[in-house]
Amino acid sequence: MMKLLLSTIVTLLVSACVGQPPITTEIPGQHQTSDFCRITVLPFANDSDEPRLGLVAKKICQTELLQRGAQVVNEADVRLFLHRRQTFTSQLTDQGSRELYAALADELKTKGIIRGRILNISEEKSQGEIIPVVTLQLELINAMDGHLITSSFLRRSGDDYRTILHYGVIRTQTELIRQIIAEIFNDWISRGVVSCQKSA
Amino acid sequence: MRSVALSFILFSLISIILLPRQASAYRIALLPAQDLTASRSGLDIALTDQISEALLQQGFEVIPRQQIIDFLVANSIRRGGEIDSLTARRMSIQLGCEGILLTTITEKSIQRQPKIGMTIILLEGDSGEQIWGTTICDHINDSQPMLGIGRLETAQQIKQHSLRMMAEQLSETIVDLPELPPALPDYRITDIDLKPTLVRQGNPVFCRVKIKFLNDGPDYLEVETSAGSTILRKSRIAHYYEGAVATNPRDGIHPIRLKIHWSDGHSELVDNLINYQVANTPPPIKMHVATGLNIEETYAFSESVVIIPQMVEKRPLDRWKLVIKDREGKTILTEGKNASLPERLEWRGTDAYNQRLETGRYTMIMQVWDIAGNENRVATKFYLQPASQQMINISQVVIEGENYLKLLPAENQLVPVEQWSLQLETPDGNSVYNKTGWELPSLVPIPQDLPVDRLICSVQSLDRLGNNVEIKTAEINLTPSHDQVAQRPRMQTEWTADF
Repeated sequence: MMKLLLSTIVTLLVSACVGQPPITTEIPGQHQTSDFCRITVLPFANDSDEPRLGLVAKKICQTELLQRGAQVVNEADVRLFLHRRQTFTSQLTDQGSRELYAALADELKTKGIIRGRILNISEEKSQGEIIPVVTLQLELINAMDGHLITSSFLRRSGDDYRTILHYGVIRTQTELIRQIIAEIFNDWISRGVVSCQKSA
Repeated sequence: MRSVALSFILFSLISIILLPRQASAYRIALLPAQDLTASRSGLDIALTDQISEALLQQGFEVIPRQQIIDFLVANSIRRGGEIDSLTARRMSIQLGCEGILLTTITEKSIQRQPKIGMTIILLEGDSGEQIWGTTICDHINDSQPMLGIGRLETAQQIKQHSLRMMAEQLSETIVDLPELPPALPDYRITDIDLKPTLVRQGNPVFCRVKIKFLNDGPDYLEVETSAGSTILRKSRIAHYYEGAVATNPRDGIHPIRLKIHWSDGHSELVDNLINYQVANTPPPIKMHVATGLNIEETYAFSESVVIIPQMVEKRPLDRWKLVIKDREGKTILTEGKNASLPERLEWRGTDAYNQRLETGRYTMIMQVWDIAGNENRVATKFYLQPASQQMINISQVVIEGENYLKLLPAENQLVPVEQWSLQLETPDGNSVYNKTGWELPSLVPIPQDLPVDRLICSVQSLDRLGNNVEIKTAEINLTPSHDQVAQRPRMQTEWTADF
């Protein structure tokens, strides 16, 4: 009886996970992956109607990196860097030139740059609850030469994480963004595109 | 005995150094929580108090709020996102704290279905680096305990639950957090102003640098160029240093370096502080005429002409002036601004009083001055031909007893006629002859044996600007006795400005 109950729970858990779409990750070139111990997170571009979501996603991304033991460049240091060069953030996020990235790498002692884009945010109704749906793109750039190391795209609904009954559902935008970023980071780590060889 | 005492002191020192960090000994500067759900500069003081309470319960020491506010005011800081690593280190020294906690509320609802989302980042006081961060979220429906015992019911309970979780997480990890060395130097250049950024013939530039130091400032600051060096004087405004800097007279972009001379004798060099540009030549400018018809370097137009002024090389401009002169050199229109060039100019063939000008040749002169004082001017020639302008002169000639119509281009006509159509009709309105041609001058024989002695001639002409003009002449006398000029009683114009 106990075995039957356990197998039912496992089956339900597994079936809940099967429906999740995979992460679309591109690794455009065979760029040698450097040590990305110190990473700069740029403000996320935001195509949604919620004005401060780009800022929110940037902060969540920083905390996820910190949770994984990465060293994250202080966001105010990035702001000062741009201010000193009289450069708009969009010049760095949308059309960042090789020279600008190299200057940032040199001045802030960083090797990796993460830039992201909130492509869409919406809500859906599921079992009487309002559940967020987020589509997000995340890119890792080699700050030294401006080359794209990897790019990932992921769309998730809070309902994708439902395990059994109402358990597992993600009901806040913040948590869903965090979850998506975490999944992408895990994907990058498993593919070996991000590494940090800390000197002893 | 002495060795025992020494060993004890040494052991105590090593123990202090190696002892893991403990929440009970950790002093935190808690910044007012930034509330992004309210506005970009929104603050939630009530939540800040609750975070403080949660931290105190975990054994952290929290710096009194007023000390933090005083520091923020003194340093003109509005929100946590403005605490750069140097400011964090200065804050740590001044307030005697080990860490600075930055909280951002990312999501909040207190009405139906209460929820909260926030990010918390800890800056290490010694290095100013981010060493810990977490994202905390709670929703009323997330709380589904067995049998509903201990279920969170209100927004307040959700908030307290989230904060308690955060404080516990921080307390557990604080002992294992890394102690990072400062990644960036003990100074921070926050602003540089160079005036002008473009000079000529070795004229000096005025350099103003805003620089903050972790502790006391250096002995002096020196800026270097390939033409020499200057010691910057301290401005009356805090953190500012300024001075005139000698420049290299050669054309090109040249770097300015900053040297920081510390009181202990050592110095630090900041390469590529900023660049200045030297230009000893006129600013190269090109006037691209986007519309109009280019005929022998003169641009013909009827309604309006669009000109796109372009700088051939990037150079900051001080001002520009546009003058339009007629054939006699008389100025008929002047325009100008103390700014960079406009993206496009459109001239509608009018003077300064917006009156339409006559047919003729005009010269547009664009004068520009760069901020170094170099001047340049470019002249562009235009030919204004109103759409109703008569293009063809018609006359009747008799050659060897035969009647002809002679079609000649109008006097001083610059724009060639592309096509003409001639029609002869009787005074009753019956068309008796039609002819189309593409070339001028042209001699058109009038057919013989026509049933009438008098005809009405009309010519429709189309020029290369797209103007379409119809000329109707008076009656043509077919008596073969004399040449005569066909008369124009009236002119009807049916024109198209563009096609």
